[in-house]
Amino acid sequence: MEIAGNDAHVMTAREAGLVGCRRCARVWPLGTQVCGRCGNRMTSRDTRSLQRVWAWWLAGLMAYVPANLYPMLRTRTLVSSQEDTIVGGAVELAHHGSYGIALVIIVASVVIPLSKFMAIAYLAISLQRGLKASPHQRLGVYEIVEYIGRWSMIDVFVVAVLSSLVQLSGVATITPGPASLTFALSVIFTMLSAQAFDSRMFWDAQAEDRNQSKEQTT
Amino acid sequence: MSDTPPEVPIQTSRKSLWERASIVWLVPLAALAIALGVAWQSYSNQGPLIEILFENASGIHADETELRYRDVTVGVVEEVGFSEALEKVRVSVRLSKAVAEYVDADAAFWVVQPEVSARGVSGLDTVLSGVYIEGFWDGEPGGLVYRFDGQEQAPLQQVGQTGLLIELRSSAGTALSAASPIVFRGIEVGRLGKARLSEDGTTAIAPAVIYAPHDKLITTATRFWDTSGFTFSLGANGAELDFSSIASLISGGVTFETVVSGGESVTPGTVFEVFESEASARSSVFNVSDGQKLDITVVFEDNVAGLSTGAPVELGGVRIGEVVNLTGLIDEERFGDNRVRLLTTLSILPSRLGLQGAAGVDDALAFLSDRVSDGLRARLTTASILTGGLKIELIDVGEPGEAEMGLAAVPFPRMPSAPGEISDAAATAEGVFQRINDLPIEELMTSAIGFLDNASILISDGELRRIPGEVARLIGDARGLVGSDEVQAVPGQIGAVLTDLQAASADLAALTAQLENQDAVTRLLEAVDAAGAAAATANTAMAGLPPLITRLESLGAKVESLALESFVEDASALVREATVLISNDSLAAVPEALAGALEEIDTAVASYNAEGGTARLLAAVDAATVAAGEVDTAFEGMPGLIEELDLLAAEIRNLPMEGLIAEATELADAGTQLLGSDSMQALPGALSEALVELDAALAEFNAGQGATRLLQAVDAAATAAGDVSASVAGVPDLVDKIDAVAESARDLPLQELVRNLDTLVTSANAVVATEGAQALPATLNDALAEVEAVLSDLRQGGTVENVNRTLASAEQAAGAIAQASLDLPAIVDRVSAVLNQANSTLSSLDDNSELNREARAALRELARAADAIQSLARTIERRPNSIILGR
Ligand SMILES: [Zn+2]
Repeated sequence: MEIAGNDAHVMTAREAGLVGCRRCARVWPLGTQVCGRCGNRMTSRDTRSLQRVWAWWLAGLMAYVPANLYPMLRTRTLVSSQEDTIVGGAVELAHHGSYGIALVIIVASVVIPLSKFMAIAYLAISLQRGLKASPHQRLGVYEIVEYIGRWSMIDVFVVAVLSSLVQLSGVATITPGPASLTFALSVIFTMLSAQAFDSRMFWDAQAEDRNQSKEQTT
Repeated sequence: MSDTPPEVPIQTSRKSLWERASIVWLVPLAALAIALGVAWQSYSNQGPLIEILFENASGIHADETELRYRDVTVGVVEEVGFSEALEKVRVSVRLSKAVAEYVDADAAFWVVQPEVSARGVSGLDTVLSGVYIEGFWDGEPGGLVYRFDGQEQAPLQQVGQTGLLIELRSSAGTALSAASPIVFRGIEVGRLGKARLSEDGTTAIAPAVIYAPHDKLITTATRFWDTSGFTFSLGANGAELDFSSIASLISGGVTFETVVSGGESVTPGTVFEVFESEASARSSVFNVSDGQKLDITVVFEDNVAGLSTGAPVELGGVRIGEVVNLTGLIDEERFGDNRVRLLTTLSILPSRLGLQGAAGVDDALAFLSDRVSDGLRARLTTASILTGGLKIELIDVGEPGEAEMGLAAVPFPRMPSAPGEISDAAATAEGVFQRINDLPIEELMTSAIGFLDNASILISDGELRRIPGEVARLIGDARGLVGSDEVQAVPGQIGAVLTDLQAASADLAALTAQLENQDAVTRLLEAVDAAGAAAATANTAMAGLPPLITRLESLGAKVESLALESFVEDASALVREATVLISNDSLAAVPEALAGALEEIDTAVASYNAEGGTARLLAAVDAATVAAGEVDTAFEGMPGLIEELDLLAAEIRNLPMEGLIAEATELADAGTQLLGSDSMQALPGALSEALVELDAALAEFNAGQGATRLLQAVDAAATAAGDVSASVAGVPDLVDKIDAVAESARDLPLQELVRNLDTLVTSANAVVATEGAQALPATLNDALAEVEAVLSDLRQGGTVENVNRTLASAEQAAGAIAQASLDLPAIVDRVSAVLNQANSTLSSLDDNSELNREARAALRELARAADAIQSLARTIERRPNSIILGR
């Protein structure tokens, strides 16, 4: 066994003739169809996972467009009614001097989703094209994406809290705009996209690299 | 023939795209479909964009300001811009698709803003929500138009209202302010629009609407007039102040009235004149409806102020026209002088002349010419005395044929005039002042002043002033006359006369006395009679004594029944009183008075012996004797009284204290009864029951454990019972001794002793009757019952230890009872001893007070002993368990 280093070879379950259950992490001999412990169907490599990744990714991106175009919040006070998109609201907050909150909104609603899209796309493309990259790096990126994805929901959460709290009929009312729904969908889709990854495929690239290097040496 | 078939190269065909595709691809496809659907729907639902041009865009904001129809939002402003060359503000409104086809060329748009006017506040909701654009169009689709000119204010005929649209034209002096109400009998039935100037600039024309169903009120005979502000007219009909309402006073208003019936209905757009006042409106009916007017001129010789244009022209009291013009006229050629004459132009309404048929101007002129020939003249008369207003009256005052209508006169035919009949108030007042002026007031004043001067001179005259001084002197003289000696001497002379008279009367009195002295015998006889009466009176006085004695007797009897002490005191007091009565001065004086009377009789007899009346004297002596005898008998009753009193005293002395003794006996009996009471008698029974219980307890619980204690307890209880019975046995002795004491005491004669004995009896009674003493047997009974209960409890429940403890307790209780019982006989013995002592003391007691004191001390001791028993009894009563616990 080799210790997992940056460029060091990591022994995969497949190489050991085993297949791991993705639900309960039990390993079985290669070829086992159903996990004897939890009943999960098992494949050594989910070849169609990248398709699912791309499908969810596309859906998330489609939902992200109206999330930024349509108003997120509808604020109706006694005097006026106002509709704010995500970016517009952040800009207005910045105008009023609340740079911190504006920054949080920009990061949570724009930077993180966009970087998530890019990270997932990079991972998927790199797998498909067989680009040379350290599997450890990829796994790190993947884990970051998966961990950070849920925090994008903070915007939706704020909108939900505000619209349920500020319901002073006639005086001031806050209702969620259509963007809140599409933004929530976008976040959900990207999270599903990240989850659809079969992270074991990162290690196959490593195996291919080694095979290639073996062939070159021999 | 066993060729193996050649290896067939098997190519694994690629799976089709369909097979390889993940089902998750449906998600982005669905998202795409939804997005496309939403986009298409929003596009297809989007209404047309229309443009409305306004003068300004106050309060209109893009994406906020709404377009409303009947207060329903049917569009939103999308853009606010300018038209070409910045002429107007162009507002682009995204119209709702539902109403788009109705917004045709007739549609009107205006901005609704908050408005505060005299008629109220409107559009208040826009204060907070901002202005909005209101649109108005009819319900018939007429093809969408994309450009509109916005109106400055709401159209007259609002949404949902129907009515008659007319135009009102104002002559000079009336203001047609926009949105003013049209009021009919106080009800707002219509509204004025914004007025515009007519083309020639002479009049203002305002559109107006009369809402249904009031539009039926409008006919060709309807006249409008201005009610804005107020009118104050001081005309031929007097003063008039007129305004319709405060609102119309401020903001103006128009009202109307159909003055003459028979008008025809009007078509929309008909122009009506708005008159200045109701009066002009009403009179204008003639102007229009009666067609042409006949104008004639009249020249009045008298140039009097008061006539004005519009003044009525009357014929026989009926108004047939009015004065339309007034000018001065100087025509030296015609009139021969330079005086200014009054040239008036009258406008006569031919229809008012009462001519048959459709009278024209010519008919009217012919009619008037005929009448003038008959003597009809125009004359100025007073229409109102107050204001001095004048009117023109056509009246037959001239001679027929005297004058003719000047038909050839230019510009109008001329009618001859007659001197006016002006009853001017000013002239009348002037006349009054003239008459006042004519009065000889100054002369009157002069006369008055002269009179006053004369009066003043008279008053300040010296002669008049001297009169009071002379009166004073006259009075002084009169006083001197009165104070003169002659007058003063008059009373003295009168006094002398009276003295003489007194002397004369004294003489008369002396004479009378002398005459009186001569009647001595009759006076003597009267004296004898008086003596007899006196004797009789004394007699009756003596007769009053026996009842007194009987009263004393009854008193003695009463005293007998009284209590000892008070009785003796009463008796002695009675004796003293009787003594006092007997030794009374008046009673003692009775014989002396009698003797005096007899002496007087003697002297009377001696003095008047010879003068007859012997029989009367004898009778008088007899009467005196009888009186003396009765006095004697009265005195004989006195010793009897004394004897009675003696007897009474003896009885008092011998009085037995039977009542007292009886009381003492009763008390003693009560004590006996107490001691012999059920509780006391039940005491041994209870004790024996307790013993029975103990026996039973003993029988049940063997003697092996605590038998000796039980025996001891029984012994103690027995001794207690013996002691109790002994003490009970001692009680009769006590009673006997008390009896003896009572017997001894019965013989005691002294009041003090009796009182002491009383105290003794009371103390004894207190002892015997005290709650403690009475409760003692009961308490003992209770204690025994408790013992019994304890024993029975123990018998039923118990362990040996309990029995032992109980026996120990019972022993202690019995000991305590024995102790208590031992104490009781001792007390009883002590009481007995005390009683013995008291008995012996009392038996040896006599009147000596020292012995009495001893007896009292003994009794006090006895009382203390009784108190001791009492306190013991109370203690036992309060804490019955102390007997059992021995404490
Ligand atoms: Zn499993």
